[in-house]
Amino acid sequence: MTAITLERRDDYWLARFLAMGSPCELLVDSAERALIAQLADLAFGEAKRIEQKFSRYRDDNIVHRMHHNHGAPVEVDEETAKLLDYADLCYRLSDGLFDITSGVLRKVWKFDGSDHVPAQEDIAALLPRIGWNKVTWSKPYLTLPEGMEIDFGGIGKEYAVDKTAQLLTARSNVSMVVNFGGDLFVTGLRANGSPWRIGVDDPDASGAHALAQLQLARGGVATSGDARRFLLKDNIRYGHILNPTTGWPVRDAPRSVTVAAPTCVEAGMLTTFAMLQGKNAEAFLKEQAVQHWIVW
Amino acid sequence: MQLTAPRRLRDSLTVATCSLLSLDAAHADFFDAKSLRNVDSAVLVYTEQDRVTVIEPVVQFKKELGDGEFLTVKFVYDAMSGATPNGATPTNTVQTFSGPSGQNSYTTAAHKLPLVSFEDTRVAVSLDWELPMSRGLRGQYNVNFSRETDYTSLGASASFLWDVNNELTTLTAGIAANLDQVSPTGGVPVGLSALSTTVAPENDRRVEREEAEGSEGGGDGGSKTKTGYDLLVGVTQVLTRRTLMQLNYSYGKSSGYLTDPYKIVSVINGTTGETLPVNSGGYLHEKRPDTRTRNALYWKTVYHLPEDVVHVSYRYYWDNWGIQSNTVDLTYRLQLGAHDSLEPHYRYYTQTAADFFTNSIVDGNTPNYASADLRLAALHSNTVGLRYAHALDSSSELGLGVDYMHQTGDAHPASAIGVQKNEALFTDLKTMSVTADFSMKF
Repeated sequence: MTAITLERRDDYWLARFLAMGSPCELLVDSAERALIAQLADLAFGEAKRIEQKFSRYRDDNIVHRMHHNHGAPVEVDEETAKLLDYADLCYRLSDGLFDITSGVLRKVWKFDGSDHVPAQEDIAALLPRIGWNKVTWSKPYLTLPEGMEIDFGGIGKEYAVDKTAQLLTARSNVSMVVNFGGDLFVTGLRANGSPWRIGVDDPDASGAHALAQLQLARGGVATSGDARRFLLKDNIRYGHILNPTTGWPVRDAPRSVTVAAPTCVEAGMLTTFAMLQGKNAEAFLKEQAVQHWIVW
Repeated sequence: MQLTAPRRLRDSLTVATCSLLSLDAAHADFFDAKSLRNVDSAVLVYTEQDRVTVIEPVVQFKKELGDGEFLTVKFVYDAMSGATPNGATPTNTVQTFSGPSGQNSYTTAAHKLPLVSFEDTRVAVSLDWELPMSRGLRGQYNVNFSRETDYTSLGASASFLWDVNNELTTLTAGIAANLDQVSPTGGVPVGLSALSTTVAPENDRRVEREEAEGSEGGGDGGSKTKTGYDLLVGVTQVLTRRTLMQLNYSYGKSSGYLTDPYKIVSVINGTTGETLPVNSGGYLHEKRPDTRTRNALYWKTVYHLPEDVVHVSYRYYWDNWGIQSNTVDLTYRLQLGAHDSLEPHYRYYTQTAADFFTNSIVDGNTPNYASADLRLAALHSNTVGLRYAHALDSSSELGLGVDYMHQTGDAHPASAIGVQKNEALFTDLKTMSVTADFSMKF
């Protein structure tokens, strides 16, 4: 099955595949190729399942049903309900800055490194279609007004990492790292008692240089911010984290935030919250008392 | 966003994450509330470095005693054999020598470098204790003991590893001390004293030993001690996801009996270059200074390829005996499938001669120190080796290695006199060693 490649490293096995638009890796602290292949298949399966279930490009999943019910309530399954509950809490904790209905802004914002900043009128035209407070969520029924969209992009990858880790640890207690495009989870200490060493990427030299090295015995790491996803116009850099209430990128946001937390989902949400803080990102993370790295 | 109640935000987030991921009682053993809060304590300090040690592990057991605390016990059994020059220079006549215990006299033909064959077995045990001390700091303590037929060594060391720079850099500092005792077969000879006869040198040494007890007053006559300490400072740096680099500086000092009790130096006629007859003081026991200060700079890079690993290192060494050396080492670990690996290895080594090294002493010009030990001469060597390792399971491994070394030096130095010019004063040394090892973690 060429979708998954297996490589042997010095003292661990590395499985690689593409999912959720990112290069995904599974590092396994074992020498048994058969086990690695099994675990890699499971990881690939789970990543693809979540990708397909919450993708907005498909016409056969819950997201499609949500978007095409013309304002009528949609009954969602247990897993989707949990994600909506989580998104709801994050909306409240962030005073409305984290909003899973803000995905429509991608229609005018294309962060391709160019200087094509959209016009205010175009942004303003989309604002009525944004706002979790306009959605009726009464488990298990979601009522989405016509023209609004639900975008799980802000938690999807981290969620997939944690779910995949759960699935794999139920199958084997070998130490592993599930890494989907830089959002990762470490399941435990390696057999020789040492932690996994995780490099925190330097956005200026992505892939070639590490900013810091974290040794993780167990827990998640997530990074928000992408060196390539920005716009530059009149010497102002527009990062890709958008404020859903204004439709504009958060001002003075860091270029990259990385957080280590007990789960990948929590780490991811903390990086998002930090980015939403703009220039107060450092102060925010310090107060939350989490290990973090910020690149301005 | 309100920053007035920050902790509450993260607490709420943690609780919400539990719900999202269905972290209920069934999963409590994997994700318990404590670990969810204490990811900081789960982030450990850098683990042990790859260090050059004298002991080649044969059997090794490693046990985790507590959180990040490990005890490692190693047992080594080495059997070595080969032929080594006894220090006398080849000359135009037959030479006869006695073995160190008085028996086994051996004869060297004319024009041949006198070699004595040796065999030795060594048993060594070492204990390593490593533990995290405080955030970012880790300690490693070691005690080691080894014994050969005529050499006993006891050592202890302590090293500290400290992570800085967001854990990309590790600083290392270490100190080691050792106490060795050499008890050569037949007793300790007086340096630069003449062999009075090639027959029954044991008697010969016994006489000298008695004299020595009075004058030198050291040891118990049959044995001598040597003490030393070493200091090391180093830095290890992660450069990229695939590359790690290390730089060390070490300093060491040894004092005591540093001479090789089995080596002799020929005394030659200053005109003809012929070795004097044994009864005229043709052979003297060698003598080396009683202190030695050593320095070394060591650099190493480890590079990870998709399946294999490359190790490259360079070492520059210099001491107060006048020796400077360069070592270049290359190892390539070739992964063959899930359980097996093959490691070819090449080393190039070159050194300058010690100040007191001499092929022979000119009659009437006895220096304060002299040794004709070819290991102190200017030389270079090439070593090639291959190690095969097989992982029995995820925590134990069997290895088998073979090393072949070829050492050459200056066979016709400018200092050769008379008949010596027709002789090869350095004979190449070739050694082969086989190591089998087993290691297990539990």
